[in-house]
Amino acid sequence: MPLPHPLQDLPLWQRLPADARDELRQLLEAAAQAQERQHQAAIARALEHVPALLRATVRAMLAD
Amino acid sequence: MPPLRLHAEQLRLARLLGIAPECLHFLRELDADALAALHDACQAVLLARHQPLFRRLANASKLLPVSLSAWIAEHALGPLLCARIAGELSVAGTLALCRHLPAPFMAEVSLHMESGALLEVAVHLPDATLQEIAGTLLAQGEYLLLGELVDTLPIALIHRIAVRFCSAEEVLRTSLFVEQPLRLEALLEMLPGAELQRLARLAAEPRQGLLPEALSLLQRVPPGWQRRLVDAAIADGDATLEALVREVDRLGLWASVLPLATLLDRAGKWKLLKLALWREVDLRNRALAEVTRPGLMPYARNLFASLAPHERERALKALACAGQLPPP
Repeated sequence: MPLPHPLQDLPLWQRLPADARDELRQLLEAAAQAQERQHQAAIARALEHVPALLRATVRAMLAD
Repeated sequence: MPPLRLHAEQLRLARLLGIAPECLHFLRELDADALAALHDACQAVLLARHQPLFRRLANASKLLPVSLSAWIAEHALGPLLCARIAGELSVAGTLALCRHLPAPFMAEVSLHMESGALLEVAVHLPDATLQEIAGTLLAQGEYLLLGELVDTLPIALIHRIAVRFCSAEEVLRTSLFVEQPLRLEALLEMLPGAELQRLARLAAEPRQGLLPEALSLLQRVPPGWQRRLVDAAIADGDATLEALVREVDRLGLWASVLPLATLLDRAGKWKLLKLALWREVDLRNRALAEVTRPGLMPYARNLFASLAPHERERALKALACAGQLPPP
């Protein structure tokens, strides 16, 4: 994962030991991936409640 | 630094990253301000990563009737995703959804919202809804967010929300996260007199661990409130004052207490000195070791100068017995 910009801007970031920066990077990446999975699961649940007529439209809007 | 704030920032960052607070052991050298800065930066990273998705969800929600969108938000999307989507909606759009959402759910969503976005919405919510959200956050012990809201919402709104703060403990725990003295006043003004006295009892209980927070509150409120809080502590009785002295001794906080002791009247100062000098030898020696440091001598002088002559004589004899020079 490339170094996230908001963290790089923090003067504090440069003062952290290298292993602490690494650990925080890993935790952040894990959090991002976990949230991605949560979001997709939530969207799948949500789509079940969208009226059938609109479902395809909503799916298309959410697609990349 | 009051440990409660450090602990709250650790919890907040851990919550954002979806981990137990213990997993942040590698950041244990950081103070609360540093952890808060890290939290905000990490939140920005996570928001940026999925923002296109949040924007598409916000646009898709506009295809549906508001009531259906609100139902889906509550029962399918959950508070985290709702908070992210709210950040992509207009304030009017978010408020339209809020009209169909229960306050406890909105309280959950508020925990995940950016401060600026939350404030923009909160100022437009009905008082009853805001009060119910505040009540939910209080029940869940979310004092950090409550403190931020007390600090940033219009002061007229604070007075209306503050009716939910019924107990000394709630005010004490929230006050740690409130920076502006006027806002602290708004909280304290809602407390009944009996609860004001209970503040001192809470601060004196070792298992509560709230003395640093109580001292922090005393140091930040306007002088009029400092006197009221100190007077309330004295009025609660000698047992409370003695318990406070013991807790100050246990935590080694004489240096923080001595400047505040100048707020006491003569009788209060004499009571404090009697507890510090004549209760236990070890307590006396620890107290004297701290309060006779050069930076604190003006406060020690103030304490002695206020005493009646016979009281001063007794106190000076106690200092001589302890091998400490009396304050000049």
